[in-house]
Formats: sequence, structure tokens, C-alpha cells
Amino acid sequence: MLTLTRSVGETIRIGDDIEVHVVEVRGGTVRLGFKAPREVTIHREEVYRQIAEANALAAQVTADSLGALAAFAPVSAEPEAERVHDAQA
Amino acid sequence: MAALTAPAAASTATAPSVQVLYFAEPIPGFPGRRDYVLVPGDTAGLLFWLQSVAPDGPRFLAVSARDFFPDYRPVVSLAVRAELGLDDVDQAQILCLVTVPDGDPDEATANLRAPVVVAPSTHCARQVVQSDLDLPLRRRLRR
Repeated sequence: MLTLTRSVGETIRIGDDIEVHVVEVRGGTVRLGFKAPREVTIHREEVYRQIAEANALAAQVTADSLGALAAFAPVSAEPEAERVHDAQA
Repeated sequence: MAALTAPAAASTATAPSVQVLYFAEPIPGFPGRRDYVLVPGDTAGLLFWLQSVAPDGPRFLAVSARDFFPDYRPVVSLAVRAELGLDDVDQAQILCLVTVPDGDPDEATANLRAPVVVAPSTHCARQVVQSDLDLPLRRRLRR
């Protein structure tokens, strides 16, 4: 891992398009400012990891559950043709 | 008695079709995967498979947020809207990824903290992490 030492007011550049500014240092906390293209997302590491873990679990879903899940959607107020079909059954 | 000739599928005004989606920012946890197909999982537009086009890429089950969680209003910033080419958030398709612990549908949960937002005109998509920590990572689908 590359480590750099910066003081308040100084900047780090990542690639051509990303800047990290040291805005404030107070006690053991540093406040950082970011300039990056809008398609680059910037997250606190623990947030990213939390979402990535949730996604990893979601990627394990199999097809068996499908039928049961549709039934959990709240019934909409709009009359659907399916309901008419049920009434005629 | 009226003849029941019309098949149920024909009664749906616009049957959902397969969409090819582009994620400029890959879904967290699956770097490098930007191309997905969104395949309907049912005829009512409630369930979808979000499948990476890569042979070893991930597949997710997703629910239509508008149908399952009608009061859910995720924040989609101006920057994200610009990236996706989304003029109007109300036009966006909002999907929540589903987890089914132990394969038990009764325990299925949807991720409301990080919805997948799809811009219908550009087919650009992104998983948009919400700042509101009250939004659950695991919201049970069964009521």
C-alpha cells in the first residue's frame, strides 16, 4: 500500500481525474474532500463492504423461490384483468 | 356465459421484456461486471432476474420496488440522474435485490438500502447506496 503524508490544505491526485483534499485535521480525525468524475462512487469502506456482502448473499438465490415471492406483493388498488379472471373461475 | 378465451398474459397491457442494462459503476462486490440483462421472472412485472452477461458473472433476483414497497422513495441525486440520463426519477425503474436465506421464501428479504435504479430511456443502471440508515438492508418481503 502506498502511504503519503499530507498536511491540511494539501491534495493527492489519483489517476487523471480524482483529487483528494485534506480539508481539516482535528484530534484523530481527518476531514477529506473529493473531486471525481460523477461515475466514480466514493464510499466509506465499511459502507461499501456492507453492501458488497449483502450483494454476495443476494447472488446466491436460486430459482425455486420465485413463485412464492410474487404472492408477497401488496395487492394493488387498480383492478387487474387477473382479478376478473379469478372472479369468473 | 362469456367465453374465457383470452389468455391471462394477453390481458397485461405491456408485458415486461428483456432489457440489456449497462452499469457504469459495477455492482459492489462484483468488480468489472458492467453488462447485465434484466429478465422478467413473472408476467406481472413483480420479479426480475438481473443476470450478468459474463458466463461466470452473478445473477440476482430483484423485486419491483414500486409494487412491493409503494411508499419507498429512494434518493437519487442530481449527479446520479445525470450519469444515468434520467430526467425524471418517477420514470426510473427501481429494483431491490432479494436474498433468500436457507432457500426459504418466507425468510426472503429485499435490500432497500441500496436499490438498483434503471433509466428506461438509456438502459443505464446503478446500485444507489442510500444515506438513510433507517432503510433496511434486509426488509422481509412476507408481511
